[in-house]
Amino acid sequence: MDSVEKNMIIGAFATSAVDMGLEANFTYNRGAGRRLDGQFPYIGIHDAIPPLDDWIANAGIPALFYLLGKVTKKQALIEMAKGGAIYGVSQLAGLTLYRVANLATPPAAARYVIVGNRRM
Amino acid sequence: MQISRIFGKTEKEQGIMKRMLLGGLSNSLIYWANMYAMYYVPGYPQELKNRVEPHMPENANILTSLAPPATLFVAKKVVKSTGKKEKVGDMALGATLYGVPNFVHDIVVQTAYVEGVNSRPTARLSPTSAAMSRYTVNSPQYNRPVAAASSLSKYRVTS
Repeated sequence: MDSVEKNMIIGAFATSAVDMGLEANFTYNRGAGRRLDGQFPYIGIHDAIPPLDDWIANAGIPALFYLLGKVTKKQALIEMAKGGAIYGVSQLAGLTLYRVANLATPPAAARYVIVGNRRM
Repeated sequence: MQISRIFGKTEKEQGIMKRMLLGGLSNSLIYWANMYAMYYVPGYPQELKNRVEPHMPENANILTSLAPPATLFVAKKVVKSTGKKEKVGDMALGATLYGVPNFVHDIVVQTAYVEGVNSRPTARLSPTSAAMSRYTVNSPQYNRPVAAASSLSKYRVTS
């Protein structure tokens, strides 16, 4: 594994770490019986679009890496931004498609949904 | 600035980034398509919905996070042509960049949920005889809300 691949993996894990931190906070509170829906950063934008916390983590962190890399002229940070972007773009795209599919599912089918603990 | 310049300066760099993104996106699509099937398809196999351990994600989520990059890495080994090997390798790395952090993400989120449920005070269902409770309201526990039904806490009185 060369240094570019390492930097990309670091970037992907950094993006994922912010995502999991926000998500873990939400699910911990949900497990404890407290709802954080509607509170910052768990603000819904539209039923078909992931909530704000997903955008902060999956788009914000790679963008931050990219800007830092451009300002400080460090190639490593730009490589991390690319790794983070691959994770973030994939996550946002998948999540959006899932939510669109949810909306498109007729209520008759949704009657049998087993709601898990995931917030999607 | 051309949008393709974001992927890299040279054409080769751009090609690598596009293939990596393709790998990541395809892994994500597999993961979320499975997630949809898990909650909406009536005959979805129960074995895939189960968890090895309460802190772990569902078996299907583990599979759909880790199997695509593993498959692509095996394909990279199997393919003989050097050009194709490189291309499949790029896609495998892209799938890894999504799959492995997503797997860790799922474990942490599930663990947080389980710990959240465990942090609730346990119910104290004190044995009260009919004689005791007939004239006195001595069991406020009965008024306490029961946790919302979910796959984990469905049969559990947690407060």
